[in-house]
Amino acid sequence: MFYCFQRGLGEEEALKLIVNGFCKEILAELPMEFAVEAKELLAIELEGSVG
Amino acid sequence: MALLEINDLHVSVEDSEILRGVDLTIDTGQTHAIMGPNGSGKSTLAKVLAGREEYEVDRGSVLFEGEDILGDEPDERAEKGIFLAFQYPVELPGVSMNNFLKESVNKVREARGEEPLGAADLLQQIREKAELVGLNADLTKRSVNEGFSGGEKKRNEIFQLAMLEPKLAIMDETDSGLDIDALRAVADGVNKLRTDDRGFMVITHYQRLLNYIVPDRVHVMIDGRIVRSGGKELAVELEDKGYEWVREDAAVAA
Ligand SMILES: Nc1ncnc2c1ncn2[C@@H]1O[C@H](COP(=O)(O)OP(=O)(O)OP(=O)(O)O)[C@@H](O)[C@H]1O
Ligand SMILES: [Mg+2]
Repeated sequence: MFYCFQRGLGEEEALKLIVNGFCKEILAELPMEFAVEAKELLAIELEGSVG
Repeated sequence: MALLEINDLHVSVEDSEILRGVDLTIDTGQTHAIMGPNGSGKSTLAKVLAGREEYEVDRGSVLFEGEDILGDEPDERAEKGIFLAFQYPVELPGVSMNNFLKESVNKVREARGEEPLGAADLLQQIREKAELVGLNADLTKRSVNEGFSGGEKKRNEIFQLAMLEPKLAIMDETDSGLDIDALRAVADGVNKLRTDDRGFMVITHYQRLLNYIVPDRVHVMIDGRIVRSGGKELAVELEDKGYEWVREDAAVAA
């Protein structure tokens, strides 16, 4: 935060920027994880139906 | 008029005193170097000037263009034209350089009573200033400092300095961790930014940097005090004799 303040940003602006950045990073990673999770779920269902 | 005037500044952190009576005046247009052993309080001074909260000012004053700034928030100081190039710049994951620069440049411009820059003008500025300080323009397309090499982070600080056009630029060991070519490039960049209406405080451990960025004054800080000041030749003398020599001198004087 201090880094942002030093560059002239106020508390609200800094927070907004950082939180937005964080969300962007997470969203960018979601499709992959979602895909993995979806695959795992699918695998479990298959196991169940076979057993 | 003095750009920066520090009088008898005492600063502590968690009840331990770090700065113990700093006096320093920088006139506009001047470049002052601050040297001194590890832990002597150089970064603390830089951070106090920029307004970092965890440092308690116990005594003394800091005047910027004749006005006491110790009550100002960090962003207000930035708006007034104080810039700190960090010793350890932080990474802001997911925050694009473009976005960050837009916010920051326009906040400072607004404070100066200037119109905000539109997208095209901003990009133009980014390109110009990146070239001026030798920053790879591809870096401006990434998140702020994220995955930047040590040298790239330091250059990015000088790049932002160029973008924000402050009145006082404080550089905290911008030269450490730079290879010889990068050191030259950063020094060249800084020299281009030295103007009659801007002052520099350059914190460094190496006389080598001061061969490129030739200072008007050199100060030695030991144990939270400036114990010796001189011209650029003082840096050469220090390189030769080390700090023990100044320390002994200071002890005799005290
Ligand atoms: N936030 C803090 N909390 C506790 N101690 C601190 C804090 N900041 C600084 N200090 C202490 O104050 C002293 C001065 O530190 P400072 O970082 O200013 O030194 P420096 O001169 O910049 O050193 P270096 O050349 O190694 O960068 C050190 O002993 C340090 O441990
Ligand atoms: Mg330091």
